[in-house]
Amino acid sequence: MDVLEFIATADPMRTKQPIELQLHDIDLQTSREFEVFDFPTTRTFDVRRAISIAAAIVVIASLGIFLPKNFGPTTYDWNSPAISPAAATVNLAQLYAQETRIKPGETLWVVQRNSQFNTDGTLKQLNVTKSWLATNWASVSYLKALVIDGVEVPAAKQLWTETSRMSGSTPEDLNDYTIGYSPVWERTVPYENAQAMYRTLVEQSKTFNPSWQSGSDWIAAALESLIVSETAAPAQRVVAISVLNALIDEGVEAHKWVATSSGERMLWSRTMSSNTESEVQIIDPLLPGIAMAVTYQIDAAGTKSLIELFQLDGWAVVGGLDVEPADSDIVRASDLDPSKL
Amino acid sequence: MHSIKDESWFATLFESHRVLVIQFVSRRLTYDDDIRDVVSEVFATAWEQRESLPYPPKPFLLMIARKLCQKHNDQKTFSGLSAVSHLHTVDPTIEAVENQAIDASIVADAARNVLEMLSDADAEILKLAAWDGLDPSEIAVVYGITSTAARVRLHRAKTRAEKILSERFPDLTEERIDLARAKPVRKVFNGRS
Repeated sequence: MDVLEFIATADPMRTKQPIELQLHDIDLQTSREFEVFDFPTTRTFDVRRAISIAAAIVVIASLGIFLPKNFGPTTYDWNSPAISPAAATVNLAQLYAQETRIKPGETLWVVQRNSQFNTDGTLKQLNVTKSWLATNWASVSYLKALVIDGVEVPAAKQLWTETSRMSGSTPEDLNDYTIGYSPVWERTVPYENAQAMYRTLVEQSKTFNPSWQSGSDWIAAALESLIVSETAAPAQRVVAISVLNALIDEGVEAHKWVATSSGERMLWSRTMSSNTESEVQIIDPLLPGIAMAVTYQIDAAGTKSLIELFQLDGWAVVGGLDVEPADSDIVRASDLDPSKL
Repeated sequence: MHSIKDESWFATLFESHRVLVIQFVSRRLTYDDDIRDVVSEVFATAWEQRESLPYPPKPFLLMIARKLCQKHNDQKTFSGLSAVSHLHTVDPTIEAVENQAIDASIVADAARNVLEMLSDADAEILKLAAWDGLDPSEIAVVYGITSTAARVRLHRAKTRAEKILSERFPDLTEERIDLARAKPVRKVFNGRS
């Protein structure tokens, strides 16, 4: 069911008679006290943003926090082992375990309950049922092996089934190889080619949003690097998050890519629908096309607690491509019931 | 599109967006006189600030309308939706739904209850999408946020609404809602009731 169609049934205009109003009813002559609306103009450097960025720098400097070495435009080596297809089977367990911003137990719990591991901790296989997969499409891309109802799904099909999921198909269609969603995906793609596709899409994203790596964003990127830095103290991260929130409030793009010292690429995003102002979201595009969002809450004492994990369609985030993220899946911490798996 | 924003341009703007703005404001205010005042002010503001009004104007007109409605409701301390909701509040239980015939008004009441249970922010973005038919890029303009942010915010609001719907109204199946959508709502809401 589309929840919007359900909500639409409560539209007051289904029963309410609209008023009549004609052009001559509009009084254009009388001078009134109009509120000045801040219509967006061509994206240029503005004073408010400059002030907020300067304030951020002052705050950082006053706290003795130094910008990371990789501050500034980053050139990614796509042939780097860190992002090679071989490394694309991401070690989620290790990655999250080393992130103090998430309670390791909770994160590991998520992974361990769903998956098998290689000896090095790498995710190896996800065993699910179709019924689970229908509502829990998460994590599939992180795996080398996907087993549905006891039958292993080839890697190429895994990639496709994600695409089909985005286009509204169901796991029932696994036998169909036809792809027809976006220009990028209009072909059956071996899993190993995902990296090249990703590179292509990043380039495309610049066409959609040429300024997505504009200079002012590097301030935020630096802060983000600090947030995800392994060496930054938790308090520093909290400060960086706060400053970054302020930047975003002032109009700095909410999403941007940053590179961590270990080579992973991370996408920072502020949670927009927060019911607590301190709620923050980190999106980790660990594999092409898929981003893992981690939402956690920071209380007044700086203690962080996991609220939810969910996967978001990374293409929409990266490039402004018109991909509906409503197909994303959410796994809330409170919903993680092992009996469901 | 007019290159010169003269009265002819304004007449075109008014005629092409009149219904849209009236409906938008009518959903958020109760009384006809208030609606008329706010709609008039939306277009008067658009005329006053015509040189800076971006194209296409639709989301920007609604941005103005939203702010004026908020301002109006802040002053009046009531909103159209809350008036509607209080008139039609139903017991949000399975039994309440099961014991009544399938009726569009029941589904509408349930939808209103779901909106009531959501946060104001979630309810508002759902209304913008479901009632006003705005896509995420237009919602972004109305809110003054990025399109991606609007998508994320809408997605999360939908998820929360779905959760409430499934928990509180498990018998409102898709088929029943589809049936209700096809039927006119029988209850007639009079804004001054």
